[in-house]
Amino acid sequence: MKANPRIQAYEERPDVAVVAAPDAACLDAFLRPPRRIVVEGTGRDDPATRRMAAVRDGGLLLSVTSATAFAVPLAKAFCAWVARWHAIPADRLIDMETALHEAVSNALLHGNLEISSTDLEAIEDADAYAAALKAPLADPRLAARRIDLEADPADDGLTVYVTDEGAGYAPNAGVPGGPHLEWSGRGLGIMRAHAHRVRLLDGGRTTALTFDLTAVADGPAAGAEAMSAADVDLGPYLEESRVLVVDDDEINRLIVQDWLNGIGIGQVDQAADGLECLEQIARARPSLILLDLAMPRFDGFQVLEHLSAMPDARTIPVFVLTAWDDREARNRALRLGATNLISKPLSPEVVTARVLEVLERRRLLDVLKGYQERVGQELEQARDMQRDLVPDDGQILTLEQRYGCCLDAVFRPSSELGGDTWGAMPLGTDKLALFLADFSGHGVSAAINVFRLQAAMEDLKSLAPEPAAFLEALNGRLCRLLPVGQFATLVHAVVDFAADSLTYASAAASGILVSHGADGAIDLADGEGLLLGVRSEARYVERRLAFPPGSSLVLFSDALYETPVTGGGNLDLEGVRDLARRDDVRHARRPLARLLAVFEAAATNPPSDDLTAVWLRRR
Amino acid sequence: MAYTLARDGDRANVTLKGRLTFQEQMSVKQMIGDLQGTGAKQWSLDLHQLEFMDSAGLGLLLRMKKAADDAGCRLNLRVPGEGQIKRLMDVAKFAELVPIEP
Repeated sequence: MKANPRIQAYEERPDVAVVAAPDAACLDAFLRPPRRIVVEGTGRDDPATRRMAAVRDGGLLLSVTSATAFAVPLAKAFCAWVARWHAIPADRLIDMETALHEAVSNALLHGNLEISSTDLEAIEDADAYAAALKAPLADPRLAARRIDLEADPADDGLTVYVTDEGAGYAPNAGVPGGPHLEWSGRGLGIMRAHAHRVRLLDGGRTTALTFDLTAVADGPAAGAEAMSAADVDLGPYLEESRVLVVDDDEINRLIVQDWLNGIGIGQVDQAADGLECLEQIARARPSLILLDLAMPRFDGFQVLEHLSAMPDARTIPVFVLTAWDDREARNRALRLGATNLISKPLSPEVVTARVLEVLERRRLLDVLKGYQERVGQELEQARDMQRDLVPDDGQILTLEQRYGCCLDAVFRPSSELGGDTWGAMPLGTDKLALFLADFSGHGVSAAINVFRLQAAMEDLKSLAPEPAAFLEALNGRLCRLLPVGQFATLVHAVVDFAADSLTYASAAASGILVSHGADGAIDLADGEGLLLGVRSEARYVERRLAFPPGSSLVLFSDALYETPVTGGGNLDLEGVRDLARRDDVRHARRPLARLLAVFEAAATNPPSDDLTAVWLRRR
Repeated sequence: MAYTLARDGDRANVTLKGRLTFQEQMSVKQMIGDLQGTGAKQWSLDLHQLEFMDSAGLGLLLRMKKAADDAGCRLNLRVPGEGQIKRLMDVAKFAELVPIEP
């Protein structure tokens, strides 16, 4: 950096600089480490430099004249400087700028230049504003008055002191109860909204703003940090976004439009009053509305009222722009549905940051919703595939006719994907195999295991007529495939219609009921056996029972007997057996459907597990 | 589900209370961590105070067995002489997978 004659740096103190009449660029160059003290002055002998002595350890001091404070975005420059010294989260920095901007405005306008709040409120536009300041700034005494900004890091956060050389200030002095920080027309409301703590010191000449930097933001800001705009590629989304700017002042609209275009917003619409605003919304729906509150004719409040009554427009986020720090007005706007408030005078950093924040959040929500829909569709597909594995009504009918039996089945996964499956395998004219498998857990992993099992069964089909051998071979396969802790219970039964027998093998499947002949009482059958998929050397027992015409075989998963029923406890295996013994159930044309109807009436809640069952009854 | 852990010489005794189902994965993980932390070589799991256990619970016990095997420790279960849990373990011949004591 070439030597600038205006700048006098102390050789013995590289942390100090004395600068004459700095402009914004000059400040930006100097408000960087190792500088801790930057004072506007003519030289090292300038009395202003005496301020240095009072700077706290580890603190920063910027001292400028009113003329400079008017010409330069002081709050922004100071915050950038602080951020170069201390790690400050982005959203805290914006809060700091917003609050500091108010404090500096106060110090300049009301403090040093002695412009009253009422005078300020009477100002209608930027030109009148400049004019109002011209006279006091022309007074060399007032223009030379200083504004000091001092940053002091402390345990409870960072405190910034803004000091002016005006007459001091006591909010609501003379009000019964004494002075207190309430509505004052000095942006105290705004400062309180963006700083952790606000204090007035030294007769009101110093405003102390404390910012809590240690607090963990556990609201949306933290979430936004975890998944930044970069992760979600906001660019194209911003290009497609449409923002509507509503303000009666054309210059304001154009300025804001410029800022928004600058951050990549593709479409910025404008409206000069409430009516035009509603017309614009009807013409093209914006993603966000920036709404000035104080407009002639149809003001911001009325617009908010209308928007909340419109079902389509109600969900569009609205940022209300207001110079008022009247808490009532702000609360009213919020009550009428405003999403957030941005204070005037507007700063591009605050406006663009807030706009980006809301659009980013919307984008994340859209991404999430899109993902949910896609996953939902994929799960739907997988669910259909699972359903296809299991015999459908047409296949069941064919089997019934072929083997002369009634086959009643139910297949109800508890979530999109289940761990249950059942099947029927014709083994020639006289033999039919039925199996029911229940994989541990549910959801995607259990469903994957179901597909594995069905594939293995297809491969080992030739062993199906021999239940024990079949199970042992399947077990060998699954042991190689399944991780520890995953397993299945499985029962595989072969009905021989010619030999009137039932041969089965079971891997810990408890849900087996058999009756012998039409009058035989239905009873639980022994399903003892090692879980399938745990130990590769497992051996399975083959059991043989009489199965004359009229006999029934019922296979069912544990959802049926482990679901709580009214009266306490679960249905239990004996409970299912008793239901199956009921006359109205065992004589029903569709016995399983009848049993489930009775079961559902007794269950306190729908089963939380996959419910699969099949009832075969020989004619 | 809740559990209590007590050290008894070279043995760590864990008593389970409540229901052992699919939802208890994290509790079981924590339990395994605690058991490994004791340095005990014998892990004993008492199921007498469990109200209910389903087949997913069996899966969690199998995972505990693997964790014990990996740590070079011996795991055994203490199971009530009758009731739902005994039945579940009998039908699955679970004693062949994890030693069971009354």
